[in-house]
Amino acid sequence: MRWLLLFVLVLQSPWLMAQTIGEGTGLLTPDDQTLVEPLRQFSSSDLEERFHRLNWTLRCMQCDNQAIGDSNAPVSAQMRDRVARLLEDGYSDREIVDFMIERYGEGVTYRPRLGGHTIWIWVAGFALTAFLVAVILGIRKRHSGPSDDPGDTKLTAEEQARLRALRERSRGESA
Amino acid sequence: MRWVVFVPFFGVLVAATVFGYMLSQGEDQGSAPSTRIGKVLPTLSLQDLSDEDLIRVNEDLYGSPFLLNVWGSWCPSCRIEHPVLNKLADEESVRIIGLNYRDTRDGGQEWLVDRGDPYEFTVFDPIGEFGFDLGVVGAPETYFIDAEGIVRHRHVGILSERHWDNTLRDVWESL
Repeated sequence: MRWLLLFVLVLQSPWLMAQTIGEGTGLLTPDDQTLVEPLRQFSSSDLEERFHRLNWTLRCMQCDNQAIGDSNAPVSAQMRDRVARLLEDGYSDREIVDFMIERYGEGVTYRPRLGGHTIWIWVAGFALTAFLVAVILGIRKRHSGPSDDPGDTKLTAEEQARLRALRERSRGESA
Repeated sequence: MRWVVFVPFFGVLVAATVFGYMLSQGEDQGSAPSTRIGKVLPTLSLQDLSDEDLIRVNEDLYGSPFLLNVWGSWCPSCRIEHPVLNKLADEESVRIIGLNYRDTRDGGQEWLVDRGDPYEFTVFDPIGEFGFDLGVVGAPETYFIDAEGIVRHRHVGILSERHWDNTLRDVWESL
């Protein structure tokens, strides 16, 4: 019977978790200390869609590896609230991300902007690739040179005589 | 020229060492990057914690260097930090201004009566709007600001006596 209860609980747990996260998110207001996510009303469904998309491209600054759309930290609630307000004010997605970067730094977005110090990530990647290709080509070239192919080898008369002498000697030793 | 192949491995090793060192440095100091460093404080227009008719603006803060300490009566870590601030204000006459962050007026006032008031004055930011513009992630945080209102240093988390003795006193004296 206990096992059955546990099984039912396990089955329910994802639903339970979803419930607590949903209930715990929101903005802390001065008159009401409980955290409740406000029911947001957008002037168009397009804004609402952009709101949800932006929530998943901005990082929660208090928690590791969570987007603000996935976090119930107070600072995330505040950021969601601000995103909604800026959207209604007619800001573009890029301007909203810029607004957040101005306050919380480059780390706030999951897609760092190209330029400044981030350019080095790209430069270093391409430079390293080019370097590796050069090294591989260099090695291949050295190994494919004519001297490595025994069929091509030309010995001088003197060298042939020495080779013959060495062979004779080794045959004599093994006998 | 065979050693050339090992250059990338060596490069990665060096990079890992440097980044590892930088990471460990950051955690020791409790200092955090802020987009506000080197810039002037955002526009402030908030009520004083003890007097709602008194509106504090940027000019009330400037004139001599100060610490802007973000706190709230809901914040357990601030409890640990508060005696340190009291001591700094009493013994080293450090000018500290409080930013009461996402708190209730009663809660904030009660806190100062119970635990002592190290602040020249405290501004009341119940929704955390000014904190948001400043890039506050959570309490406690302490900003080192010079006489012109330019943010010079940001300390995240509890400001302990050890931090103060190790590095922060030097930062304060350099303002």
